[in-house]
Amino acid sequence: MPLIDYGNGNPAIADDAWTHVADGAALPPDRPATISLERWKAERDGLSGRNLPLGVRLESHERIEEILPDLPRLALIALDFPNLNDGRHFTTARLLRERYRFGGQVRATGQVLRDQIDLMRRCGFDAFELAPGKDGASAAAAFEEISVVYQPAADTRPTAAQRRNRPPEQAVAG
Amino acid sequence: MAQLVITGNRLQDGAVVWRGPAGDWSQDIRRAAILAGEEALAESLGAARLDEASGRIIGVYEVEIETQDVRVRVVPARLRERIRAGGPTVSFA
Amino acid sequence: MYAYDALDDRLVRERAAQFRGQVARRISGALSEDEFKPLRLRNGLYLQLHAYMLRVAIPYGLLNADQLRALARIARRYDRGYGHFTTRQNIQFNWIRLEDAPDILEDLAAAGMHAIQTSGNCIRNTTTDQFAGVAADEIEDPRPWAEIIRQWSTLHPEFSFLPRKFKVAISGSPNDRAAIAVHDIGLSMARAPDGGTGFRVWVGGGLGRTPMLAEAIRDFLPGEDLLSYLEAILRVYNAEGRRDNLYKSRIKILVSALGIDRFRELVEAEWALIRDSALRLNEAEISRIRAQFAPPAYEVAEARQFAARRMEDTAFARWSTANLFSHKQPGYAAVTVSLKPAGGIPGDITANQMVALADLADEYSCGEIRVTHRQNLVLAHVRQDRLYDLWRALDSLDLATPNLMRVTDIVACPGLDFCGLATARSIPVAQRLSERLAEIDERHDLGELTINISGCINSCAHHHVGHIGILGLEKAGAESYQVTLGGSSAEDASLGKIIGRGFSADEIVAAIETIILTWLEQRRDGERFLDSLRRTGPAPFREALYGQD
Repeated sequence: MPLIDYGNGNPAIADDAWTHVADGAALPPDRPATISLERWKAERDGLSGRNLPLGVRLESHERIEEILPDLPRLALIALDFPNLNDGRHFTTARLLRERYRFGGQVRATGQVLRDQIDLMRRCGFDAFELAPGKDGASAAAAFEEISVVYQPAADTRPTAAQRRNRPPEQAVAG
Repeated sequence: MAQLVITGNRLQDGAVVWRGPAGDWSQDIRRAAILAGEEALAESLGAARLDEASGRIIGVYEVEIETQDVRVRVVPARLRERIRAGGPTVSFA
Repeated sequence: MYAYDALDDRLVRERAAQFRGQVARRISGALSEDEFKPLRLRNGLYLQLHAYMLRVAIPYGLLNADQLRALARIARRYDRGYGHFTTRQNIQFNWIRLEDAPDILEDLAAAGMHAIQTSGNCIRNTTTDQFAGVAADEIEDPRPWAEIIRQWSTLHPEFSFLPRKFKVAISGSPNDRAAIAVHDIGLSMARAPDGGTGFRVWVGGGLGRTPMLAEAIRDFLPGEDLLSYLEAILRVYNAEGRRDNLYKSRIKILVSALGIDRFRELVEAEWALIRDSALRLNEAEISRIRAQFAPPAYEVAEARQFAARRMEDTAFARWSTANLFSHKQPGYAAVTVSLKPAGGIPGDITANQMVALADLADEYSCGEIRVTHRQNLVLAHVRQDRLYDLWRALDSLDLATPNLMRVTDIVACPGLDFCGLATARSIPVAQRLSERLAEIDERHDLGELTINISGCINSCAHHHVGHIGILGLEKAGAESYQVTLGGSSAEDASLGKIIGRGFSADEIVAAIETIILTWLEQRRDGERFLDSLRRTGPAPFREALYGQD
């Protein structure tokens, strides 16, 4: 599955260091791993001795608020998009970054298509597992398509209003 | 047994098209293959869905037609399909 | 009116280029129809019965003359020489080819326009009063705020995949001409005790399968907090709105399930966390936008000639009684250009009419045209001493039907003649009704009486809020028309009630005629239909339509 990593401020096609582990399956001894929210809630105490990075996967109806105290222990939150219409995790990602100050990776999984990833990035996602069969290299171009933003979001891009009302010496020419 | 034709819209321009006997798609419902029987329908629909998968045609489905006079004219049973076949019933600008 | 700066311009051009790439990927097969459909919808492109339909955004219904000319060019070059104005103050072209859509978006961008978010489960075009900025009864011109919302909602990263579509309407006046009670969010301009302006906020209105009037969520919201409050409402809706059932996914269902008090608690709690953020509007940006809606330079006009012409020419007198709205500037009037000639298609306009009207707007009305949510157009700044000349010009274009808010000013959706969702035809019913009712109105002077005809339960023609509403359904393979009485979208908003069993296509015109003739027997001097109905209740109408059974 192609992975686009935007963690360094530039999109890169990356090898995935992480393994998504199914409920009931053993965690790999040598690799970072994600588990489901349910499993995390059941096993979090037993996992306190693990020395490899851990991540939690949320389905589209699951709320990050259930595990806020655990965020410092987690290196990755994977937010699933089951179809093209379910946009709940756009909100989850913004809250993770802007309200809960999560500094790890926020990864989009599931039906992740090129034409949504720029909006996802604005909401705070920094890694994108594209849907199977999609070409990661051409998808990365999606980040360059729209250069003007009207809303403040989880990214640091100045909004149109901020650019307009800057002191004159900083104003951006048309 | 109902008689059926297969329809869809063409990807490039959205035009209403009807599937002919040779697997061709025509804007003229009179050129549609008239299907009777589950088997004929299943076979034609299967082939039509391949055109949908390849992206040429969107939204393939079958349409029941009125059974009288099919050799003279092909008239869908539902008003919606008659309007698709014949165009809007109102004259516009 | 608002003119794009370099940033606005760049965004719509980049958006057109982006869609060109998406169309190319669709045609090459890289995108499936399932993947492509949400993308084309977010650019206003639907697949209808006979072709693609492109819905172009007309933000808060405001156009300049050059934009109307650009729409005429699109109608001629890419369509069949006409367009259709909608109840959401937008315009639709019915005969578009997918391959042409990117070129059209580019042409629109060059004219400072777009088709962004005119469809799809996202925030749609913000609508407002067609007399904004000229009405004497308004607290403040709502259009700068509508433009602020337009920008905020455009390509909003968090709210582009909502449970369902989302519509905001603003009224600047306590006399609601923007139907705010039937929108997901309704904003009514209000004044704070300290004199500052802001909004009374309503939420959870809508029509469709489950019509509901909005409830008040906040009595006063300061203007500078507009966007953070909208964002709080949208965030609660995005997280909590139902996604398991298309028909229960609008915010009205969430508000009614939680109750307005619980919903308000959630919104206010969220708002408390984001109120002090970059969403707070700064005075420089509000002023920059407000300045672009400054009134035009009015001239001193005198009214004597207007009065004299009214005496001389009864046809002009009749039109000026029906189609003028009083302007706050003495000596001026706002003119409604009717797109409802008897027997015509409500809201349709030819490219030739568009071009001629653009010229008239330049000559008579500061180069500005507005679209109403009743599918008419408005020239908002006309000197009264020039009304007679304007009327003659409009009349020669068949654009001077004197019927604003009258029984032949029928609102109708495209219906089954064009629309893929429709269950019955709307246009032929509107055509037959307007021909028949024009006669009755001529004889009896029916006054204000609105008829709205929707061709399916999605209610694009807002039949629930027509004084007489007609809903076209398919029953046992045939068209069947259900009649509701008593709707209103004004400040006395109410939802119409079904009068009884439906009528066939052959019966519906006679049934409406029966309703009107029955009313005339009940009517007390000059009373509106709606007021008589509210006085008598539906019984006389039911009896006239169905007898004793």
